Amino acid sequence: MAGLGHPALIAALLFAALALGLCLAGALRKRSDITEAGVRAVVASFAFVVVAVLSLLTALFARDFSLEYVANYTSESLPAVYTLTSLWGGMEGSLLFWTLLLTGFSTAALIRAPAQRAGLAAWAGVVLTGVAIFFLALLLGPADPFTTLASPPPDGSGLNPLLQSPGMVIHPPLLYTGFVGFSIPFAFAVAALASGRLDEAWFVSTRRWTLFAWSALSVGIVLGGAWAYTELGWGGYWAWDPVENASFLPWLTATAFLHSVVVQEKRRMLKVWNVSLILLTYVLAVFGTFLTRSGILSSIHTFTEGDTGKWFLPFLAAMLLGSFALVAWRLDSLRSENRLDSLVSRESAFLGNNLLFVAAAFTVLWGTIYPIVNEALTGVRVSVGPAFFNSVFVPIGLALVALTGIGPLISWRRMSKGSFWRVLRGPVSAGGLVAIGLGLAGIRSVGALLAFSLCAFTAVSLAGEFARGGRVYRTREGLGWPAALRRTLLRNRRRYGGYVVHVGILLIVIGFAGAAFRTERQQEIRPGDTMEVGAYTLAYEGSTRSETEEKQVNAARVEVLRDGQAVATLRPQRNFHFAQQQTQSEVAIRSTPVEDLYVVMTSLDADGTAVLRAFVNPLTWWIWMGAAVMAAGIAVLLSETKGSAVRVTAPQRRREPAVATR
Amino acid sequence: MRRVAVFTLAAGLLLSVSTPASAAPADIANSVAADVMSPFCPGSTLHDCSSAEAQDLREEILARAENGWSRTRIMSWLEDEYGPSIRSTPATEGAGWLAWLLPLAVVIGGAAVAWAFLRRSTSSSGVEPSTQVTRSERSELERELRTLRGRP
Repeated sequence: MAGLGHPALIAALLFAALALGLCLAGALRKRSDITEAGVRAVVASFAFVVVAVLSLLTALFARDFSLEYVANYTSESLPAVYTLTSLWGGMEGSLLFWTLLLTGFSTAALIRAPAQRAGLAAWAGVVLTGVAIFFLALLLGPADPFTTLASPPPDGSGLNPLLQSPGMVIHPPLLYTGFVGFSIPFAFAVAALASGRLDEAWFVSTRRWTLFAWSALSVGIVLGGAWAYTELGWGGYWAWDPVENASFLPWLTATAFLHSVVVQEKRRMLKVWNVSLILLTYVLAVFGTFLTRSGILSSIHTFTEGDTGKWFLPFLAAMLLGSFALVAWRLDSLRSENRLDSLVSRESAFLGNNLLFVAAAFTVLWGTIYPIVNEALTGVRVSVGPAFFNSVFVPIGLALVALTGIGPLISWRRMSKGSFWRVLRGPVSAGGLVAIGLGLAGIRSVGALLAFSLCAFTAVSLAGEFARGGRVYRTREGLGWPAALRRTLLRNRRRYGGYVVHVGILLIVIGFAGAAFRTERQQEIRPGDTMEVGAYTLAYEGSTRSETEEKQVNAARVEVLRDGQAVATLRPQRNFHFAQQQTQSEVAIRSTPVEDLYVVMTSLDADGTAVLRAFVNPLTWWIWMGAAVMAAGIAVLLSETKGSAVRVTAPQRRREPAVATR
Repeated sequence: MRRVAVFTLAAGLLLSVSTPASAAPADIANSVAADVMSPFCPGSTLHDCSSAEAQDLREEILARAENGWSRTRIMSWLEDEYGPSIRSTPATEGAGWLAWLLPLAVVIGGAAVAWAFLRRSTSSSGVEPSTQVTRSERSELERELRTLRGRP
C-alpha cells in the first residue's frame, strides 16, 4: 500500500493542473460545462490525495520503517491513537494532511455552488487548484512523506512525548481545519475581484465556510492552551510563543472580518476593508505555516521544522501581491453604497472594533518578527517575550471587551447622545459597583479591577439584549421566561449565538485576570517534608516506580492540606521514555472554580528527593468553562439554516430619512 | 473614538504601574524568571522552561535574591552572563523604542484614518436625529408590525 503513495500524489498533481486549466477556461469563456469538468478534476485530485493519505496511514500502523517518515515518528511501542497523531506529527505528514483538507474542502465548496460555476466558482476553482498545486509540488519534492531508507532501522524514533497527549489528537487537526478552511472565502474573494462580481455573493456563499474555519481555529487555539497547561509544566496556558502567535494572527483578522461583514450586509459599506481582511486572514494562515516550518524563529512548539520554509516565501509573496493588486484594480467598484450617518452608531462601534482587532494583529505580528527585523537592522539578536505582548495587548483587549458591551446598545445609523447615555447607565453602574466592591475587598491590581468591571459592564449589556428579546416573546406569545429566551436565541441564531460567544469570551477574560493573583513556589523536598504555597501545605510522602512498554513511570505522592485538613492527593510524575531517551514531567492539577493547585515534579533523585514546583492559579477553571460556553455559541451560529439566515438588504438609497432603529 | 483611544492609553498606563513591587525573595526570583528568556529552551522564558539547567538557574537567581540582591542587579548580572538577548522585552532606548512605539503608532494612525473616514463619510455629522416620523414611514412601520403579528 505504501508504494501507492507516490504515484497517487503524482496523479493528484496532474488532476489539479487539469482542473486549473479547465476552471480558467470556464472562467474566461464563461462556459459552465467546462467549469463542471474542472470541478470533476478537483474531485479526482482529492480522491488521489485520499489514496496517498491512506497509504501513509497504512505504513504508519504497519510500522513500515523502510519509510523515513515512519521511522522518524513512530516506534513499536507507540499506542495506536498516537500512531494516528503521527500523521501530522512531522513536517511531511502535516503538509499531506493540509493538502487532504484543502482538496477536500475545495471539492465540497465547488460542487455545492452549481449556479455560480460560470462565474465565481470557476475563478475560485483556479485559486484553490493553484494553492493545491503548490502543496502537491512540495509533497513530491522537498517534503516527500514517502522517502524510503536504504537500510531500515529495527525500531523507529517514536513520537515526541509532548505530542503524546489526548489534546494533541484533535488540536492540530482543528488548527489545520481553521487555516485551510479560510482558503475557501479567500478563493471566492479573489474570484469576486477577478470576475468583477463585487456584490455580496462572494461572502454570502462562503459565510458558513468562514464561520466554520473561524470556529475550528477558535476551538483549536483553546485546546492548544489546554495542552500547554496540562503538558508543559510551567503553570500557564499561553506564552506568546511564535507558533502560538502564528495561530492567533489569522484568528484576530478573521474575527475582525466576522464583525465588519455585518456592516456590509446591513449598510453596504466597508467593501474594500472586508475583502482585504479575508485576503489577509488566509495570507496570515499560510504565514503561520511558514513560521512553523522555517526555523527562522525559536519556538518550543516547532515539531515540524525543516527546510521547506524557503518555498513558502515566494508563494506568500505571490498571494499577497497578487490579491492586493486585484483589490487596487477593483478599487473604484468597491466604493461604499451608503454613507455613515452619525459617529454615535453601531457602524462606528464596528469600525472601532475592527481598528482594535487589526491593531492587536499588528502588535502580535510585529512582536513576533521584531527579533528578525532588529537583527537585520542592527546585527543584534534580541528577544520579545510575554512581558512585551502583555503590556501592549492587554489594553487593546480590555478596550475590545468594553466595545463588546457598547456595540449591542447602539442603534444602526444614528442615535442621539441622550439615548446613548440612557442605555449606558445600567451597564456602567454594574461595572462601577463591581470595581468598588472588589476594591473594598482588598483587590489592588488595577488590571484585574479593570478586567472584572468591564466584564460586568458587558455582561449586563448582553443580559439586557436577551431580556429585551425575551420580553417581546413573553408579551406576544405569553411564554414563560425560559421558553421566551429559548425562542429569542433560536429565532435569530446569528445575533444571539454571537452574544453567547461573547459571554464565553467574558468568562475567558475573567480567567485571564485571575493570573494577576498567581502564586508559585519551588522547593527541593525529601520524603516526609512539607512545603507551603498560597493557603496550601503540600506533604511529600515519597515516590513509586513502575514500568510500561514505552516508559518508566516515577510518581510522587503529595498530600494536599488546607487549614490542616486533607483536601486532595496529587501524583505528579517524572517519566523516562525509552524510545526517545527523554525525561518528561506529567503535571498533577486540583481544579476548582476558585483556583487551581498545579504541581509539577521537575527532578527526582535516586534517594527520593524531588524538586516540586507548585502554583496556585486563581480562576483558571473559568477559561475552560468560557471556552465551553463559546463552543455552545458557535454551535448555535453554525446551526443557522439558510431560511433563518439574515438576508442581505436590498440596495438602499444614498440618503434615507433619519429614523432611530435598534 | 477619542474615548476609546484615551481609555486604551489609560488602561495601558494603569496596568504598567500596577505591577506590584515584590518584596519576598521567591517573588523577586519568579518575576525575574518571567522577564528573561531561557538560554536552554528555544523561545521560552526562564520561568516556563522545564529543563534541568533552567531549574538550576532559577535556583541560582533565588539564592541571589535571598542574599539581598535587587531585581535590577540580578537582571544586570544575567545580561552580563548571557548577553542582551536574555531580556524578554526590547530595550527602552535606541532602536528598541521602535518595537514599543510602532504598535502605538498603528493604533493612533488607524484611529486617525478611521476618524478621517468617519468625518468624510458622515452625511450629517453633529445633527441630532429627527424624532419626527413621516406619514409614509409610519404606514410602512404599521404594515411591518401587522405582518409580525400575523395579521393581514
